[in-house]
Amino acid sequence: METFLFYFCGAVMLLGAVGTVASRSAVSAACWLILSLLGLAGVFAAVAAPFLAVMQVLVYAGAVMVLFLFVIMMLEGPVLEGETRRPRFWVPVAAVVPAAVILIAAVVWVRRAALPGFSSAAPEGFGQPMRMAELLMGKYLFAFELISIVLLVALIGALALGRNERKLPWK
Amino acid sequence: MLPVILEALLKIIFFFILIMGFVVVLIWGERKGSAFIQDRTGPNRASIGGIRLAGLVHPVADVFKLLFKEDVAPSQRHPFLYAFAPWLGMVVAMTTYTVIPFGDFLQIGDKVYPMVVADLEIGMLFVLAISSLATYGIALGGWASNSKYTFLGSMRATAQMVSYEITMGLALMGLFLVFGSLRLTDIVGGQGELIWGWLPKWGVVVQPLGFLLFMGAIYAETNRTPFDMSERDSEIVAGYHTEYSSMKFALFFMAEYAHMVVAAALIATLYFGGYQIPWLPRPVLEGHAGPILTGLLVAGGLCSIWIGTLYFRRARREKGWYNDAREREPGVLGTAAVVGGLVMLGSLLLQPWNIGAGGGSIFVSLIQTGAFIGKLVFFAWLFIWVRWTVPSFRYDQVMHLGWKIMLPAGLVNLVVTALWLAAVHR
Amino acid sequence: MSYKGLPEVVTTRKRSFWESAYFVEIFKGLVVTGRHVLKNLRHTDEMPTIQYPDQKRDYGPRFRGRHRLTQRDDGSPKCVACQMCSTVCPADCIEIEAAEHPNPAIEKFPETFTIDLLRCVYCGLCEEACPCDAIRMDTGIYEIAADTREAFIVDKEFLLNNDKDGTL
Ligand code: SF4
Ligand code: SF4
Repeated sequence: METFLFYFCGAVMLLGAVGTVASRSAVSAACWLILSLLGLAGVFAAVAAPFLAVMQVLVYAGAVMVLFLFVIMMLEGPVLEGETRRPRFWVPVAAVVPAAVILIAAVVWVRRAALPGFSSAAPEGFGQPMRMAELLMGKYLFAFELISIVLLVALIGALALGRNERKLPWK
Repeated sequence: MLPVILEALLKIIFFFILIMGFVVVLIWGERKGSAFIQDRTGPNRASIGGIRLAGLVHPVADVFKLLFKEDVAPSQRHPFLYAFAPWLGMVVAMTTYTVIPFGDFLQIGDKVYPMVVADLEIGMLFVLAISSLATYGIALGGWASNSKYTFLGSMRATAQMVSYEITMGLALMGLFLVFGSLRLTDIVGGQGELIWGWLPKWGVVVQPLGFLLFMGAIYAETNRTPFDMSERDSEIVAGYHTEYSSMKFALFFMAEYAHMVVAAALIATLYFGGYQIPWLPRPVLEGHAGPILTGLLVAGGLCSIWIGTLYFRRARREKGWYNDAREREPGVLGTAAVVGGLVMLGSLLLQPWNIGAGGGSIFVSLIQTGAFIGKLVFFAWLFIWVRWTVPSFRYDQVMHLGWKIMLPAGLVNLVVTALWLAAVHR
Repeated sequence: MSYKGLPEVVTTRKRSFWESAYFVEIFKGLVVTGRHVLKNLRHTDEMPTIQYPDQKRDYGPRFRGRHRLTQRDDGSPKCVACQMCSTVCPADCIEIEAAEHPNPAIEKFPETFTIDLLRCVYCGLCEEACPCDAIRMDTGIYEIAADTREAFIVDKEFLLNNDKDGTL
């Protein structure tokens, strides 16, 4: 079951990725990307990492992509009519790749044998919030805080860049 | 494998029926409640064979009307997203229920069934994640309709929901700290305790500020007044669903109420003890299951008969008012109430005071589910009550409140809670 | 802030802490509306709503309802086709074709007399202009509904026997 779910979500993810590249309008691309992210969350869930899966949905699909969509919609306005050139090349790819993955998954599922490199036996408590917290707040505390600071710097930098040039405090 | 799936399926069906029933009742409650608040009588005309049930038949009539209405769609729409968006809201609202416990457990024989569809370790995060997807239904629906009003509505909704999600998360974090778990059953279980032996350890007691913040944020998340930015009719027609009609509109409409039920269930679960009845924990209830059941049956039977006599009195008074099938209504309802009351009293012959341990356990589970539903009903009514009482915010006020007041307050709440817990555990 | 040195007209009161905390005020508002709900739940019958098709509002005797043409003793219209009403009518919705009356004392009578009720604004000027008290709006009928536009154009026979209620 998990194996099947894993490959199915993987296929969804790939489909979303292909759709992102192949779609004409930016909003459609964003929607495909959301599908891809949801597929990724499914993959996480299938490998027994529910915390990661939920965070994937909460942060990327639920917040980041909402903001993406917000900005795209604001700038793009009505449905795009330009860019009529549709990359036909991607259409068969978009059909073939996920189909192949699903086929593999079905074969694997029928034969009840995991592919090499994928073991469904996760360690006890793997991917649970408690373990994640222990790792983030214990072993990787420094890296975690460092990343927070990087994000903070990026935030301030974006604010500074977005401000009116002449009003910058040092000008 | 199969019994597990069957069990999950039964619970899902229970929740589905509960939600859809509540949606109908809430639509009725919104109409009737707003009417009573404004000294009107509200809907009272649609009837089935003269039975009007104070307007409860109207939502049923609505469903049929919307099903058979013409589906008018803008010609410049985005075909797929336009059709897909209404479903999204509904699906999201329905999915959230899976982790909400509507009872402790149900023991039949030696089998124990937990009364929650999926008791996830990350329960509350799951709710947050899924409900953050609800934004898409509104955002994409408004955008795909390709009209400026829907677009404005969806833009406002997106900005508002993204802003208030953060406050909601922060407010909840304090609660997680107190109960030490993200699992909703743990949180509810923790609320069954008493502080100092008399105060129920409800979320609202241990996290009063967090509760207020969560309340505000969840009103914003469900797009209800005072945060109805996305469908403010005096400004942007009907907001994101302006261009929708027939069943697609109905889906948006039902999704709004389904979200309200979810929100009410969450408030009840997180801050008001879920299925817990204060001062009456499960062992106490189980110990006195027989007498309680008997008392309930007697009280219920007498109440029901009394209501029936009230209906009969109304039937006499209203004789000759209408001269059509509606004349029958009070008589029929009165008969039903009296018969129900007699059945309840008659069941005393089965000696309910000798209910036994197994039956007592089932009975207590039912009582607790009843308590949960009672709390849910109250908070759903609160949504309606607030909507027809409070004027809504201006857009800049919404943003000001969200970012400059509620977000810092949430942070303060979190820090204070953490410090307090650290001091206690030291 | 003042505009062109003019004194500020709108004065804003400073809100107290509890007022700007919002939740207290919301609670007060809830109490007000909650009281209405309870009152209406207990005294449902005393609500001011008129249950329209079952109960009807009583209008005063001067209420201007649908028109009627008054009759002489023999049942013919009192109207002498003087065209006063159709001249004064602001909506221009009365159309009269005059014909010679057999009785030389009466001179004229309306061969046709139609009123377009869709155009009528129920101002009552026709009633006031009439020298013979031939057109009146005292039927008290205000439920004027029909399925077609044509049905709203009513003729002399209809106006003469105008005591039907409801639809045209
Ligand atoms: S009531 Fe006024 S508008 Fe109507 S027919 Fe008479 S004069 Fe014309
Ligand atoms: S004013 Fe009177 S008499 Fe003259 S045409 Fe009209 S209804 Fe007839």
